[in-house]
Amino acid sequence: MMQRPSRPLPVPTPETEEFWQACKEGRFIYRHCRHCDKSYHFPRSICPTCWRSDVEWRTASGRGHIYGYAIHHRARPWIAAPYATVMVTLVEGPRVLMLWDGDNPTPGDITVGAPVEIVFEKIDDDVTLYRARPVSVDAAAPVSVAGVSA
Amino acid sequence: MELAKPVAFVGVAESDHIGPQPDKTALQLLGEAARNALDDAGLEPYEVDGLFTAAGSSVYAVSEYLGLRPRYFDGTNVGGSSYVIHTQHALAAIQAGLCEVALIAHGRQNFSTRSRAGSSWAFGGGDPFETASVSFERPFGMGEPVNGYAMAATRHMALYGTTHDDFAEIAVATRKWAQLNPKAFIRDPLSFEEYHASRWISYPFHLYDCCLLTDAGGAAIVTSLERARSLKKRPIRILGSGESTTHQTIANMPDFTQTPARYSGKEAFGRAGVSPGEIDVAELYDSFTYTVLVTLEELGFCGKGEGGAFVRGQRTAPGGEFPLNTSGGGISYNHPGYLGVFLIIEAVRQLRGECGDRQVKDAELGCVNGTGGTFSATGTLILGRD
Repeated sequence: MMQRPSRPLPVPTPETEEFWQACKEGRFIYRHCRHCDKSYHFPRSICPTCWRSDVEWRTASGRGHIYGYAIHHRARPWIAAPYATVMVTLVEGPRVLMLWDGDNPTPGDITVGAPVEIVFEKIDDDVTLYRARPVSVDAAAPVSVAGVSA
Repeated sequence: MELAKPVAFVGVAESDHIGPQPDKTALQLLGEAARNALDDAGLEPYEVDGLFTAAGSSVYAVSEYLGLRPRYFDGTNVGGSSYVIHTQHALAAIQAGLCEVALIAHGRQNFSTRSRAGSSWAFGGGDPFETASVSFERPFGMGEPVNGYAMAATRHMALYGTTHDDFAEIAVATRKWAQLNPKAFIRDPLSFEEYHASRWISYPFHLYDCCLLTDAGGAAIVTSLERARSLKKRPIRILGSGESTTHQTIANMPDFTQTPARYSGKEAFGRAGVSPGEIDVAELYDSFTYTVLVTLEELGFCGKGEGGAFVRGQRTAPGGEFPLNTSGGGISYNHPGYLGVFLIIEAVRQLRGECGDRQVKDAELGCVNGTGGTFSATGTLILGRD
């Protein structure tokens, strides 16, 4: 995909550095609190339920479904319009905002509840982001919701 | 100080360590201190219902980080004095019964934000109060409120069958009120055809689903009822109030088809001893038509998912059964950002009987609801004539 100028990039912090590194390795990881047995995103080293620091990383399957979406008709310097953003509910539980992996989206292309999978998008040698693309119904077979320990 | 409800400190603590900690973030240090203070008090996070902080980029960024849903919150930021001042604010809130357990919390890295020269962490090199929005929203095509509000709207359409026509009803009705308001920015009539023909901004929102961009100031003055009765005009009493924040970034919105108004509204109506059916005039933040529609449901003016049916047939227009956004709202009257004060201005004028051509007859009880962020926070007021 042709790169346009001035796309805002994430600012890795001590709490999110590992997340962005995992993206570069093609893995979507998320935080899980051992004390509460709750998973959450965005990554925080403090659990947002109990405020303890007994947290671990888990690797997502990459599958989820569309929780909501919008199709934006105002371009940005780095992305042409129309483009879509989707809120994806991972099968493991947390919700993640992503760009839709498709040009010129129309409302008919995107359906609330439809299964999607994460695809990684290499921006440069330092940054890899992610998008959501549709999967066929056949491919969206049930997966373990426990995730896999990183 | 004679307090009806004496107030006391019960837990105090720092973060686990003090000193250079470049491997942690400011909010992480705040979280550690909060956990340690809870342990000192013998409390758990779910028992905290008030949040006071000058850390992070905003009080709801901190609230979201901690996974809190406070019923009272305060982000007063006057530098180093903030937390002592927060204590007085917490005292007042507890006095008034607006919250019971107040967390006053801080986290900051004056060392690390200076030592990382050249990195994105340093002052001038990035955002020292990096928020989830910077990393998890902006790189992914979000940047203005419309981007997020539109995403919630499509879910409501999918779950409840809400339609573009339902949004149009609100846009058309609101414009009719603007036509009766000499101060409204846009006063031309708006037809359903023009609404549907207007360009897309962020689907499912057309141009006419979105609030205006104007420049304006607005102010309101509140005093004791005793003092109010000695002043110029008929006092409009605040019978009940409520506030709520559930998240900052849209990924942490508990449910796309709900808003914090279900909490702030319940408190406001409950404290006022008023039910939604008794309201004569409502001013509900209309950042977008959908904001109004879902707020009608969340405040209890209609059932969940019934917002579309409620507004059909121009029910909220002049002459309709439910006078709503009678100034012409953010959509047609005025929206310089942070519309809430203008909702108050219109509600007060309606209850005073000062609204001329757009006066709602015999308006005695009013409801004001402000929605901010990306459905992140709401405040609700029930007002009545003295």
